[in-house]
Amino acid sequence: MKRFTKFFGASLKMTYRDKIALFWMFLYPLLLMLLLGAIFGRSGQANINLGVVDLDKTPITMGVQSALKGIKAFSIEKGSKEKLLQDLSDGKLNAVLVLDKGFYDSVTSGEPGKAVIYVDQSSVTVADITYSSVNQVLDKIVQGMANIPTLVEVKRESVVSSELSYVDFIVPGILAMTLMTSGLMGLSLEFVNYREKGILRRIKVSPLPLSRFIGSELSAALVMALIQAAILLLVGWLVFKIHIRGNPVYIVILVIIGAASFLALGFLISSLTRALKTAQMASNAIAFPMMFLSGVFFPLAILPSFLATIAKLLPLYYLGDALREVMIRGKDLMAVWPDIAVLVGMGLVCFLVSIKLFRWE
Amino acid sequence: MPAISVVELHKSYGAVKAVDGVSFEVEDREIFGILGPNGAGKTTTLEIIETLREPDSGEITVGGMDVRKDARAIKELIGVQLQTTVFFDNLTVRETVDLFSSFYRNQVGTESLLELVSLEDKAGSMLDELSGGQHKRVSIALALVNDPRIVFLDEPTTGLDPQARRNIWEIVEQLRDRENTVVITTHYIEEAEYLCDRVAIMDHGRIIAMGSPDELIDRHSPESNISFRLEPLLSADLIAAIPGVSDVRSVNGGYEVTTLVPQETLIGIFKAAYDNGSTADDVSMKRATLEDVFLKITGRRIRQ
Repeated sequence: MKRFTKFFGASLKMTYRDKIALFWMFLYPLLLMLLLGAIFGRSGQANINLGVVDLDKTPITMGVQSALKGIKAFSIEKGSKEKLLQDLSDGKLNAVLVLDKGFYDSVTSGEPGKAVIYVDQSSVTVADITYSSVNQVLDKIVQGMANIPTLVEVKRESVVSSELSYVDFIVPGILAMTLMTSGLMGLSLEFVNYREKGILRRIKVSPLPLSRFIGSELSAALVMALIQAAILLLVGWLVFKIHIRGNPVYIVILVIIGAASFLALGFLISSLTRALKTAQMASNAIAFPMMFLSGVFFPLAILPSFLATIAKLLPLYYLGDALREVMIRGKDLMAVWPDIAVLVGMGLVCFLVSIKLFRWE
Repeated sequence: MPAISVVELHKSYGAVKAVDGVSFEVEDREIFGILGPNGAGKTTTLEIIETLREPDSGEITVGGMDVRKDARAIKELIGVQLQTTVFFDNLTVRETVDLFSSFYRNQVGTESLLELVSLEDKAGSMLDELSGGQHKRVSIALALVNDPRIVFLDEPTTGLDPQARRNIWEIVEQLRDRENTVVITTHYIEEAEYLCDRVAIMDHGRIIAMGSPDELIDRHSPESNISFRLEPLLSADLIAAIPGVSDVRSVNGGYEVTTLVPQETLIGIFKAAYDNGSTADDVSMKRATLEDVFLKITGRRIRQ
């Protein structure tokens, strides 16, 4: 036990003193979160520039307009349909809502009101958020005014649920990404570095068993992962008021499972490569596509279907999904058991293969 | 029972026979040197005894235990300094020694080790702030953390300046005082002659000579060389007639002669000078070294 704590403590100390590692482990994910969060607004809803064209000009459409004006997240622009659509394609507006002639008549006769939302599909995420926000708002306003159930026709399915803002969505994603990069880049490169320098040989010639050495290194890396998660979530909560509804114990368990399985993947890379350079390239080649294709920054639903299929082949997707379901939607671990099974399975396979292939020199 | 016994050790890497039938024994409390040029198989031999590498064949015991069967127990018994002396980044000297101590059941205090290798005032420094000699001293301290019975030092002074080399020699002499058994590899002649009780000279994976430095020189290269200047210069024939002289070489203003009986030859030189009205000056006598032994056996120098 004493051997274990000594090595464990030394590993933590070395990480703490490695300022570059600290930047990538702590500052980089935070910066990424702050950046993405700032772009998409701190309330969680984007600051949406909405053009409104009222072709009906009835009390109810007037009411809709003033209600929209009352919502902070929207800045309303009025004008002719042609001009506003031009502004939309110029990128000055995020969306244009056209309230068609006959809106009032339909609503009062119990039919869905006719309205069309034009969105800028070139920025898919904003378009989605805008679309669903306007849709929800319109729904509520009309309901409130007419006191009758859903009236506005829903032509598209919303991908952003009412309470799940973009920041809420992205924090578990960034956490997943952070655990992945730390796992792939941290320990594996360290092992290769130790091997290259001959430190592993020096350890081999001592009675310290391999299991003890790897065990203490892995434990230190897991503790770092938990600290990373805690800091990330704390800042997310302080700055963006993200909604964490999940059970903290479940979150800790998921962080450990995720970190361990990516550490195992990194360990496999270190056992398969000889030089530090190769190991670095291999880690990057795995980490970067995974970062962008696994749906940690945006929902898979907005990806073309073949990319969505690829995403589901990548382990990061499962960690992101599990963290999101548990943290934001408040699910329990049973609800995400397929995700957990994939992560544990990958981790075990990688770990066993790397132990088999482990080289001291 | 010897501290180390090696019988017919063979180890090949592909077609290259790194160690080709080596046998020797190291006694308890002995400082045993393996001397030879780079690539002679010194490090491979050492690393097999240290349980770092598997032998192809041969019987190797350390402290009476078989390296193949009892590697774990042997590791507790020995202390090893490897040729590479790079350690963890971001740990201080004290933390490094502490960490390696924790790998062993038997532990000596970190502070006393730092004192032994004279690094007390560097205890708080990071490893990358140390000089080459200090680095080597850390690696020797690491070889001593478990108070080992047998210490292996693999080229402990390679690449060091003379002062730093002296420091390492002093540490090895302290190990002698502490009654450690030390096995040391080197390609420095003076180091082997100065430190070692016995030396095995290796070349091309084989031991070509073994014994104490004096024995080896007496056996293989017993002659001494005497050089001197004469004013005025006398003829070579006169010099060749001096008792014991077996070879005369003319050097700047004088001669260098080889002899098996240095005392008689020295007297003869002064007598010849006196009798012929000349003055002998700048007289120096050199005994053969292990370098001459190596040269005699292989026809090559150790460091070329």
